[in-house]
Amino acid sequence: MKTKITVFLVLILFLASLSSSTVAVDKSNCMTCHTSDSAIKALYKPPVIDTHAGEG
Amino acid sequence: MYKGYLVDQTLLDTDPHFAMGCEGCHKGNLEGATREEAHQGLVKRPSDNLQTCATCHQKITSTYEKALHYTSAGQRHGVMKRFSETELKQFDEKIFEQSCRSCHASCGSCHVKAAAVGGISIGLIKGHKFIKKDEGKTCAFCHGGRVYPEYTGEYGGKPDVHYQKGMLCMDCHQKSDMHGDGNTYLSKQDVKDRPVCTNCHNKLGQEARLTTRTAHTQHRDKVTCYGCHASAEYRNCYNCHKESESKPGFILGLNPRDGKTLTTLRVIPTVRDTFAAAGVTMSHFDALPNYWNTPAHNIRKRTDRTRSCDACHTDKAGFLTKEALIENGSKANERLIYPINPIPITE
Repeated sequence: MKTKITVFLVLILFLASLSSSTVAVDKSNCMTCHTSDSAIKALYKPPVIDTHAGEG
Repeated sequence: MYKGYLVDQTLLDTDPHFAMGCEGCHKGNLEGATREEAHQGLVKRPSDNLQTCATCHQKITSTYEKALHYTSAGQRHGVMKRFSETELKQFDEKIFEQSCRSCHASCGSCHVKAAAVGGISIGLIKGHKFIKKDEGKTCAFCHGGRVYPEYTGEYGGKPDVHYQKGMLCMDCHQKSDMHGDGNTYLSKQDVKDRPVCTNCHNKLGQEARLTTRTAHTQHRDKVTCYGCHASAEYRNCYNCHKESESKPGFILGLNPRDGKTLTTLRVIPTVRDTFAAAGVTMSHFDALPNYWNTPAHNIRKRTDRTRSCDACHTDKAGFLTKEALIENGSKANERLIYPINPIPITE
């Protein structure tokens, strides 16, 4: 009996680990644009280059 | 460039960092319908505030807040002796906090999005994945003016032998060099566990080959490894904040930090009027030299100097001379000239 319970628990844990919904999913407005190649391309503004900045 | 702002959607379902949603770290306005509205109150670099990451990574952030990559203390310490007390206060206020400190690395600069250098950033390293390391996109971006292209050979000359063997930055520079060890250092020179060649090459003077054994024995503690094994010219900067004038050079002279070890020197771009535009003068400019010891990252086993004693002892190739010193430089520069002599011939 004890062995059966252990096997059952291991099976439950294994199935739970396969679930991809383990973290909250952000479906906010941010992701609407930031996961869309065309949207982000349209919205992108090239940076103003600081020609005085140094490099190390 | 725009691709640097694209987030990999699959991460949302698999990476716990996204559990609190974008706004958990970046704030902003979730109700905003336009780019401008949505970005109201946006925190571009959430990890500038280490407490953002400290929620889960408490141990690392507690050491990182004292690490040189975060404090930028090395930049201040490297120049402060040039200022009077009043000038140092002006420097701190107008330059260090405004300029130098703006270069400090946040957690995200190495793990999420490459830092902007000169206004340019490649953006997200891997679609906002929280990566452990990617030296070519992180270290290389901030240290890409000198060290990284020397190492890979992109700056000219041959690549560093360690690069050719497949080693990257983190193979020598340990995690504690980045995250800090809990101590507050003023300069990288003070860091206890900074990489040294002898960590791996620990049998110097025991080589089978006589010339190698003799060279290592004779020069030990007198010449740094770079002094002989730096293979080619490296970038030296001459006129910072004026006309850009960086050019290759190979300079051998005394290490200004100890005044006795022969090593590779690099021209460091602080000239007499570097901070003049900000109204900060340097009353004690001559207290420090314009040349500093540099660990040139273009190491080879065989170089002109390892092949022949004459390269140094007769030809004096690469040695700093009075004639070669930069114009209007610090008076401290002359102290770095090493009087190389021919090898005495004994019967």
